[in-house]
Amino acid sequence: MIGLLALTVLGPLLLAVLAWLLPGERLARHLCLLGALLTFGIGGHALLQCAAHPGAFVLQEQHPWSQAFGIGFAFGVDGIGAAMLLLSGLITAVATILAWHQQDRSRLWHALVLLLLAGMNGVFTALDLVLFYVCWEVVLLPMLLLIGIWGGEQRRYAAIKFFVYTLAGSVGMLFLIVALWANTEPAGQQIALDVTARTWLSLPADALQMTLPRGFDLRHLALQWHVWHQQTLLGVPLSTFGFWAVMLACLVKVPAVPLHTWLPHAHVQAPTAISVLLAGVLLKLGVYGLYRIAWPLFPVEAAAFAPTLGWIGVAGILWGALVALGQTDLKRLVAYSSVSHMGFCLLGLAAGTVAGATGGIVQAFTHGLSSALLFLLVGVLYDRAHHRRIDGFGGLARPMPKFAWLLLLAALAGAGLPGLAGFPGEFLVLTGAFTAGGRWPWLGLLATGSVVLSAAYLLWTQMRVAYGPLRHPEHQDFADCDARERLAAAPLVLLLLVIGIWPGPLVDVLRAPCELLLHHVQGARP
Amino acid sequence: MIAGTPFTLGSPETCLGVGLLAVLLADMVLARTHQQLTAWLAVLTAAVAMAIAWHTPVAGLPFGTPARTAAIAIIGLVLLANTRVGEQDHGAWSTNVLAIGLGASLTASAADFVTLWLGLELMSLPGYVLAGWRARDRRAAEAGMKYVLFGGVASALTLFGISHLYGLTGQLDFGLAAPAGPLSPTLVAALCLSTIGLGYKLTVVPFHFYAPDVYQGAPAIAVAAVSIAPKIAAMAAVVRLLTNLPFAGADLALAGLAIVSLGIACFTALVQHDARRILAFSGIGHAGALLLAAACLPGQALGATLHYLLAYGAANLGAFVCLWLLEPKNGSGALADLAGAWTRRPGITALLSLFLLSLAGLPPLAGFLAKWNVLAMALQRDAGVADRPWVTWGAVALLLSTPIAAWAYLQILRAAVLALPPPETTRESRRPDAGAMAVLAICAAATLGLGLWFDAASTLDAMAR
Repeated sequence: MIGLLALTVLGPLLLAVLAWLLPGERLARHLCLLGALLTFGIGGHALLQCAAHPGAFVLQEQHPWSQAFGIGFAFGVDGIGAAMLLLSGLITAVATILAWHQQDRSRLWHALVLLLLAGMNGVFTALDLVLFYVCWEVVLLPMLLLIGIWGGEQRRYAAIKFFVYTLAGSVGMLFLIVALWANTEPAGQQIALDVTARTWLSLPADALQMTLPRGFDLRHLALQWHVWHQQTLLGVPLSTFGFWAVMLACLVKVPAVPLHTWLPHAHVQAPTAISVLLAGVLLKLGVYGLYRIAWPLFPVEAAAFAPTLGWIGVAGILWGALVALGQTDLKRLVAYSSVSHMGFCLLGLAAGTVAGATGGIVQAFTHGLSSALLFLLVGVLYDRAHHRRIDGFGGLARPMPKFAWLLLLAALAGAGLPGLAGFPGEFLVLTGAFTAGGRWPWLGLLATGSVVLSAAYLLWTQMRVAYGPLRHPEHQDFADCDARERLAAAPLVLLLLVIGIWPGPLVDVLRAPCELLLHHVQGARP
Repeated sequence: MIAGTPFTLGSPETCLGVGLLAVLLADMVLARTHQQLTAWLAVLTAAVAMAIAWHTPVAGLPFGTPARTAAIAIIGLVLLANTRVGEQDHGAWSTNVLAIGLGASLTASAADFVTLWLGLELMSLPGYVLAGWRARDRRAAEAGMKYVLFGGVASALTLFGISHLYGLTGQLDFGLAAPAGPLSPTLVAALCLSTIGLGYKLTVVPFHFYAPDVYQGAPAIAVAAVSIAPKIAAMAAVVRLLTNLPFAGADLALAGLAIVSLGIACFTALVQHDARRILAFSGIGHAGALLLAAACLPGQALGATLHYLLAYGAANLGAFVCLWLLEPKNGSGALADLAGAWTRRPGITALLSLFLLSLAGLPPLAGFLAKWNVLAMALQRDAGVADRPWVTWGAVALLLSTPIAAWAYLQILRAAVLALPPPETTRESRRPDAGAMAVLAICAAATLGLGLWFDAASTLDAMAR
């Protein structure tokens, strides 16, 4: 029997086939919206379940795939996965509404968006490393085609760069996966269970020992970290190799400086709805991979190399903010602001405190909302003016007051104004860094500096685009955001406000798995 | 003296030989209006031969049975894809393709060097004809000439090596009466010479130079015949040689060849401007991966090798049939001539993308699982497997070459799917008939099935033992 989480993968897959094969453009977009809302609904349900069972994996299901390698279609989410699943459904729905009047080959478009959704959902719900990897790679193809067919002038270059860059980042992970299999005992591994293990595996409190079968269950792999800590591969400890392989795959996706160079191209060339998906969900795959694979499977290396990741995060925060300050193209500006904001996720996880780790994933979630809104608004402008040069606008608040208000909200949320959703994530990350001891307060201090920078480039942009006298008289006739655009923006605005004013429930549901993760990492001794 | 497979009336080689002659006769006897019969007679011959091969085990080598069956099946599919008489001299086409099948079958079941040489030659000769099929085309003439010259040298060197083997041991079967102790350097040198023919058929570096030109010059559908079946047959011979003549350092030699092939293939493929040349370098890279699988013998590597061959065969055959259907009348495979294929034939182009992504090794397609199996064999550390650092380095090379090779395949995708059609889009290409569509359907089903069926390799391994 297929459970709810498997449905979030199989449902969009099936809908993708239907959308492509059945005649009718109207049908295709409705199917796409259906897939997104289905994901959103299941994500919401999973989030409520997670709130009831803190730290545990809910909605678990398992279907056999390979006997020889011990691979299964295993699904299950904790708070982190559930939040990401919800985000994936929400952003896809927003993107679908944005592309509602997609004319050119719209059946293929919607089928590809659904395929993308299936891949993303698979990554967020997989409890099996091979399933995770398969979904991780499945995402590449629809993205390649969506950018490459419907993108801007240099779409082919941008699409292929995106594809090859991310594929190159993730082959090391494939090598690792096979090496993990090769280095585990065929008969299984006996381990002692602690409180983390019991919560992860949903075992009763009196379970003290367990034989883990050879296979790819992520929780089993995490509990066997000491096995590959003792193995070597070509003279390198397997765990060190594996940690960096996963880091590389994830940091390319995040993207972390200096592996971010594919992002500005992809964003600038992608159509608006795809930019929304890319910034809203795809970048989160990288952060999720760090939380779900790198930290649990290689806790010793994670603790040892956390400062490195912290510096990478801070480098991204500052570099992204400084480069964003100098951009003349709106999309490039938002793309670099993404690089900057995603750096907070890395810093939060690296700091090794519960506040930091929780903040990192809260930041990932809220950045999904605010960057999606920013890209949506840039798309609104582009639809009307057919260019994105910041100096080509000015005083748009007059003809487009609603647009100006939305842009202000998105900019303030991005800048981390208290009361909007950008704040809790950044605040928790900075708290996490300041309380971590050692050199971490210095990193926190540097990251705090970027809050000023992000306020500068976002509000300066707001000022140049929306306020002042109307610089170009022909913009006088620009229509304000129409009903469809407002409908697409509405859920984002609503969540930005709700999470900003009342972040408690989201933070609580994300804190429990982060506590367990850090307990696992800090309990691991080489 | 020769302890190989006894060739009887009931062996697939007999069936292929008889069918080949029958097609030749029918081509001469039948009136122009009944020529269609010869095409179907050839398909029927291949189908019967395949059934016989499946039910007739190759003596002394279980791996030979599925390999031989697969090689004949590929030949049958190539024939099925091109049954429309009239474009060319169809009787000669069918005869040549069947002859490749006969040679492949012979090679896969060879247990001695003479039969091996005979099989290789039988695959080569019709290959020369097919490479130069469009005799008036300069590229085809170059391809045919290069193929003949390289093939002749490879064949001569192979024979030279075989003569030394006979002189040194007085034996011609693969076991060579298995001399006790390590092989003498002279014997190793003779062995190396006598396996050049295999390297040539596998298109392993440094025996690969002919492949890009032949792939480019020959009709795409002919490339499907000369590129896959010989590789399958040659791998069967490699497996048999390695099981009969295990020599120290085999893993080093094979992994070394694999690393060189993978490295050269992926980088050279990047700078090509012709879809078929890219696929030629892809074939060279895949041959490297196959040798890496062979370097892991014994163990479960038989299943991995067989799975790799099937996955490569399905995707490569499908890709070539798609390219054949998409190519313009002049038979050009240039990337520029593929532009706009998506708008002309979306279905075929989508299938082409599927096959290319499988060749690139993207999950969940067959090429990914094939790569996975080879990696699993190369990295396994189960009891009884010695430490083989070279094989591990081979696995590293296989992985590092993956994104670069994928980049090369993307050049084809870029031309076919992403590039805008040129202003005059009324370019004529072949209309796919039922036969070609059936072949594409089979290839697509195999590409998906062999990718999702994760236990395929262990099932195949049990079969190949």
